[in-house]
Amino acid sequence: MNFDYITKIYESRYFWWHLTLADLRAKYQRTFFGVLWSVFQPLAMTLLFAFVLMNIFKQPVGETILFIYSGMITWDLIVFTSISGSYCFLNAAPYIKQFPHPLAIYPLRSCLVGIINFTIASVPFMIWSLYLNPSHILPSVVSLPIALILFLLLLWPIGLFCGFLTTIFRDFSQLITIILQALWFISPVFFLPSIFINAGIGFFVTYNPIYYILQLIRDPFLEGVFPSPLVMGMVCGCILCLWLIAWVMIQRIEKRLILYL
Amino acid sequence: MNERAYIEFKSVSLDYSSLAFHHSSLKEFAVQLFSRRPKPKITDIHALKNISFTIQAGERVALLGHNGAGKTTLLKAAAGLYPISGGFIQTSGLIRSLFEISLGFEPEATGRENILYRGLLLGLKPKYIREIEEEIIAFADIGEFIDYPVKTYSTGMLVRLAFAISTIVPGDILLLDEIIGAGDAGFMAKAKQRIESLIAKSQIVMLASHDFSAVKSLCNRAIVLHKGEIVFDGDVEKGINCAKRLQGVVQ
Repeated sequence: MNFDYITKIYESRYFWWHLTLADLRAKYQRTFFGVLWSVFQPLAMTLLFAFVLMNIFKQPVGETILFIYSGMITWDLIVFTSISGSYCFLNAAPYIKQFPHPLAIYPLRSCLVGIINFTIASVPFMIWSLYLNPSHILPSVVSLPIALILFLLLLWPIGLFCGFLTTIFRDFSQLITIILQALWFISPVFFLPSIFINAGIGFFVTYNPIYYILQLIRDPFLEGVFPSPLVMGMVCGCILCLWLIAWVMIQRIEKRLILYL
Repeated sequence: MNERAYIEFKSVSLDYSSLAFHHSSLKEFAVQLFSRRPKPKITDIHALKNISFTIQAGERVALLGHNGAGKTTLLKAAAGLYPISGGFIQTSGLIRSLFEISLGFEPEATGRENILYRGLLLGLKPKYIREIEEEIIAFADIGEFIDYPVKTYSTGMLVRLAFAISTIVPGDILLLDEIIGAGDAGFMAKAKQRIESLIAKSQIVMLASHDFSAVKSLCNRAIVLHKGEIVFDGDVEKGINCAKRLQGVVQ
């Protein structure tokens, strides 16, 4: 991605930022609880999951509930960005056909909506975990903005990738839900990493980027430590790889994409 | 505004790859398997072939030709929207294009909010859009509906709002795909006046049109396209005659 492309993204900042706000307004328009649904939804799902674990599987829940909640909101962010990113160019077709803004602004719009929702949804998680462990406040407060920036850098190219592929191969939007479901099963989103390790499938944790992405939030809030160099290294490595793929796609597909809309 | 605007096309070709518009589905595949009818052959479309011209400041150029001759494709290539397969395009000056302007509204947002989004799409700053907002609302003349979601608008209201926003700021190069007809007779007259003022403020105008009388009154050069190639470039009267001959209107 050359400097000129980045400059164009910056120059169109008012456009994509206002569209992000429009998406957020449209999402909760005419609902009674408005933006609070961002909090209620994962909270209700977490409580439901905890209830099932306790009463059906007779598992102790305790502080695991915070582990589940952090997994729920982060996973929701990944799913939302991938699926809404898949349709970002198709939905923005009327804009793309009128003005040659850089196409990367459209998955950025989806990604920002997801991250703002995530931030709102994580408020009860933060309050809850810091209430239980006040000593975690320093690593948590310092790590959260870094985690949000890393999420943005990570999910933006994913949205771009899904958007390009869905526009060219419309079947990809169906395929992505299966891929995400498969990833959910092999990642410690709701289930503790120890469950995978004890079952002899620890490599699903060790070599799984999702695990390291989740640790960006879990390490500071649940363990009271800054994300380890291994976590940061793995996440930054993923970001680099994803941007490399995104850059190749921008170079090869961006200009021709309008013909597929 | 740029000092001297220009558009230069040199040996420009543009192909629509058949991959972009031909998709096979499982159903089609199954039907084809048991059908005796031969499958229609879908091939690449060569929308522009070896197009070369230069347009200097002061020129008002009409693009004439049949439907499918390549007029809109040429305009969209000049606007930087369509990728070219060969040659090069060079432009200097701020481009304003009016293509498919009634599309691209956020349906849940109000008319007022959509003025902001459309203005931002055109590259304007929020502060400037707020300054010209009332002027746009007055021109669109949709009254109190400006604060209603645009999904409640009629098609005519949408076109009027889109036109009012899209034509508020001039550019150095104006690209028009037909003179836009919008709304009732009163609005049509206002729209025509607005377009004429936009044309007067632009250094270069390219107008793709089938309306020969509008072309005669607005343009001082004509380029006639036929099957993606330039068959005439020069005087407007002669260009119109050439286009008429191609369309079979005159012998």
